[in-house]
Amino acid sequence: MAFDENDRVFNASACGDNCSKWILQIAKDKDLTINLRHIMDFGEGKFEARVLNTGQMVHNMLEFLDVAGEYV
Amino acid sequence: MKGKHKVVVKNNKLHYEFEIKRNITIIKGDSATGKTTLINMIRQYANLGVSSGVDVVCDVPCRILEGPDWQLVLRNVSGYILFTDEENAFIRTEQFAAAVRDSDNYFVIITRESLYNLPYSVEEIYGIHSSGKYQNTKQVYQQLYKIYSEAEHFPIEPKYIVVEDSNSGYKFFKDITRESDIRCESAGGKSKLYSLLCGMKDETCVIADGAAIGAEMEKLHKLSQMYRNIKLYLPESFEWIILSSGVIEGKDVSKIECEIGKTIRQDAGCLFFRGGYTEKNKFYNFFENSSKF
Repeated sequence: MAFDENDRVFNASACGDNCSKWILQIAKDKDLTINLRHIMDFGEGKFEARVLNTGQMVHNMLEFLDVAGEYV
Repeated sequence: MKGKHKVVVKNNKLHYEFEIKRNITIIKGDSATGKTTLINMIRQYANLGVSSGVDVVCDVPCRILEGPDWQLVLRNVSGYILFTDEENAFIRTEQFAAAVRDSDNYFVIITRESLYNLPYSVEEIYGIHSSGKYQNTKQVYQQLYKIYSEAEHFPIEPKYIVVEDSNSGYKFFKDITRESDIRCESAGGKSKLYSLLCGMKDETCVIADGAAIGAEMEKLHKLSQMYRNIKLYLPESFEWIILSSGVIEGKDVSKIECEIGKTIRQDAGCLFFRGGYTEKNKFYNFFENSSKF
């Protein structure tokens, strides 16, 4: 994921919640598109992500949960 | 298949020990906790026996269910504990769910996804961690722990009760709250609970059958953690509340309650009583017609 240069979509549910901090870390340097089949815990901090199912931007777990719960 | 079954899977480096109690057990959790290793060890034992270096100890046979021939395997095994994981796409299918419902095997499914086709219990969702039992030795002891085991703090004073179903359970709680200022509403099914609860501001108590709510738990649990006004009350089932309340007399009832795993096949949605098969609707009719109730 960190070294991919082909804009692949990664199945982050295969990684587990312990990888969420690394996903946020990688996303600081480049745009990252992931597929989730569970509600990944991105922690208590702020982040920025667009949920492609709806186009909505979310900035924390509360906003993410409100959207993600409808899809996974 | 009924009852609890202790499973030990070990080699000279790892020791897994856990108890399977129901027809569906879910194991989930972070990566590198040993979930895939468990599956691999069972597969090695099934393929190579003792020469694999793995030992699987259980009073019923254990094997892996995987690959395109899974239906063929399921048709030909009975009384097994079958392990599978999310690398098998069939676990998400309605065909698999139907096969599980009709099967006389127990299933242990390793997945992070919520499997909405399957009715599994909130009590049978586990993670794996190293317990340190064999600390300072070469062998690591891997233990299953219940993910949703935290107890709610009682009493709570809800302003709003949301009941999963729209049948007897809802009627029961609706009657209880009729003469209070507590609003009681049916969600019309467990799949509708989440959208009903989003943005809920009132003190809310959600009542749902714990025996089948497993797939909804990830988001309901996160919701209750984020929105502290939402509490989850997940008894085994409404029928369980009645059985354990003491309003039904008879030694068979107390015996069923005490030996639920031995007496009743743990299929959510159906109850099999000793001496016969009783569908859920017939169970309700029994209580509606019983003079003691």
